[in-house]
Amino acid sequence: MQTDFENRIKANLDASVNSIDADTRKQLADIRRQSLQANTSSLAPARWLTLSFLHQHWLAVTAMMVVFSLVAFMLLSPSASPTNHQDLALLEALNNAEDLEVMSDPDFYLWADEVLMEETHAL
Amino acid sequence: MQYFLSSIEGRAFRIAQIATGNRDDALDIVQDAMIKMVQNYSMHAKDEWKALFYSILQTRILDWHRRQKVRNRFRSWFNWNSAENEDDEEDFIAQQPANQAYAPDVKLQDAQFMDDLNTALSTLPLRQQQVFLMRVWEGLDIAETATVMQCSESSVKTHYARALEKLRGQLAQHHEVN
Repeated sequence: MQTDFENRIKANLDASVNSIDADTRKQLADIRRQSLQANTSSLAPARWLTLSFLHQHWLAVTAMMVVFSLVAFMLLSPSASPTNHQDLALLEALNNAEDLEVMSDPDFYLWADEVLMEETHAL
Repeated sequence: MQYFLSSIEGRAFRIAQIATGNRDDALDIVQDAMIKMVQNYSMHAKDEWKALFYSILQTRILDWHRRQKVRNRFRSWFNWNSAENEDDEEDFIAQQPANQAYAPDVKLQDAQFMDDLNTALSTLPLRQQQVFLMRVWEGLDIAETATVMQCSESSVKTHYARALEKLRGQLAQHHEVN
């Protein structure tokens, strides 16, 4: 059984849903429709495997390949030893399962691509 | 399934928004959760949908926080300047929905309570926040919450008690008024 305090919180949270703006409501409805439609097209190839995706995001794909090449180089180099901050950070990432998982996600490179673009425009 | 999703989408969005403090990320999380729900669990019994959906949603929120942590580490790795980072962090209060449904004479104190509640919820540790919202808002019992959160029932009780204590402390002003 909930106290008055908890009931008041629940009532306020309910009210916050009722006051979601029209644009967000529309987006939520679109998301719902797309989710229901996605069920019928679940056999489609992964988004990042399509040629059009590679064409549109060649910079992100290239960045991903460069990072993997760098990691492979560091791992295979017989004299590999951390010499600076970036090497240490990379080694830290290699030793962290969460970091590696995020780095193996194509979305990470899209994000990095976006941030790099923002950086470039800011300069 | 359509009816189920439409009945739950607003609350799912708000839960994700409280957890991330970002409207667009909240929408992405709800989208991922809905897609996974439809693709993997639409054949399950309807009475299981709610717990399944919230389990997916909570996992997506945890994933978001994990990604943010790694991304922040990489930002510092690449020495991206902190000023830009600050620009990216959206104002949590500004992200919260306005109380448009309230008539002006319907208690300014409720509007203030809503603002303070949003702030207080957003400052709770993620697990406490999630347990609290599942228990109080979604009305899940301890066992259901434990299933959704993939933790023990004793953890649910602990998280809930701590969340409630913190909220009572942060909202004491409103609590005493009533």
